[in-house]
Amino acid sequence: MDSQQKKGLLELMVLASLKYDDSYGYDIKQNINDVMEISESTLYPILRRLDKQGFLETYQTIYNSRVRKYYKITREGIEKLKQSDSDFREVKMLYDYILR
Amino acid sequence: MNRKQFLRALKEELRKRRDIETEEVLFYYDEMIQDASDNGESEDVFIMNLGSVKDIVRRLEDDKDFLNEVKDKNINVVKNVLSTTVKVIGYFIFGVIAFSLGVTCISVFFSGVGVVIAAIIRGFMSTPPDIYGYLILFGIVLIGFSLIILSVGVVKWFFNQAHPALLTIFRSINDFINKRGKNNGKDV
Repeated sequence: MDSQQKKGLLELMVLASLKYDDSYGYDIKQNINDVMEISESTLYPILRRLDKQGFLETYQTIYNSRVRKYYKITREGIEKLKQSDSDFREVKMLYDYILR
Repeated sequence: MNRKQFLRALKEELRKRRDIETEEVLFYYDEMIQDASDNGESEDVFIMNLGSVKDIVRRLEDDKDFLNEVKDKNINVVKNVLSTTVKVIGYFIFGVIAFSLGVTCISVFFSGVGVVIAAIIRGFMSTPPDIYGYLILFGIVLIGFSLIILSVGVVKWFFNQAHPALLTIFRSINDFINKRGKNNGKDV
């Protein structure tokens, strides 16, 4: 897939990985890697951006006597995912035309 | 390279870029490495796969939104300096107006109270000649009351108007304190 397309989708992938459960960096990366390859240094700016934009929020818990940062999707994040549903329909229409 | 060496190298590289939140980035990679080794991955291999610290920092710099934000920050610094001066002058003028308005309202309020009391005392002390005298006294009492209501009304209106301004003052003081706290944390 085109890298530009991938970039846009990765943000949504990260949000989608938090749709049902809060999670931490390593786990998010593993989850997304099942579908699309993502490196740690790609994930970090995305998490940071989504956090700054208010699509997710963070909190810390103690795990194995060290601090672990958890990411939690916000209501705005859920809305953004919903928005991607209508985007998908639009893109699908275009692809139906391209691949007809 | 082990975790500590990697983090030290990353910190060194990040130090060259003052606009990147070093602690946050270090925390992220530290947690990643520890989680990977907890998950049975080899620490050395994992760190090798992270790539060079130079590349990691370059990636952060390349992030378009990130760079935009840094630019915004620089513009904001200028804006803040300007707006602080404007704010100080604004607050001073605001204070002068509030003070004079307050003093005027208090004097109007007390003259209203004074007129009412004077009229009542006068009404009881002296024997008014006829119904017109009572009417005049009644009129004076009404004027007194309207002065009281007017002053209270003006003060109330002013506070309602000033409410957002007061909030802004409170917020900017709050932000100032928070910023100081953060900077102190960074220096340590």
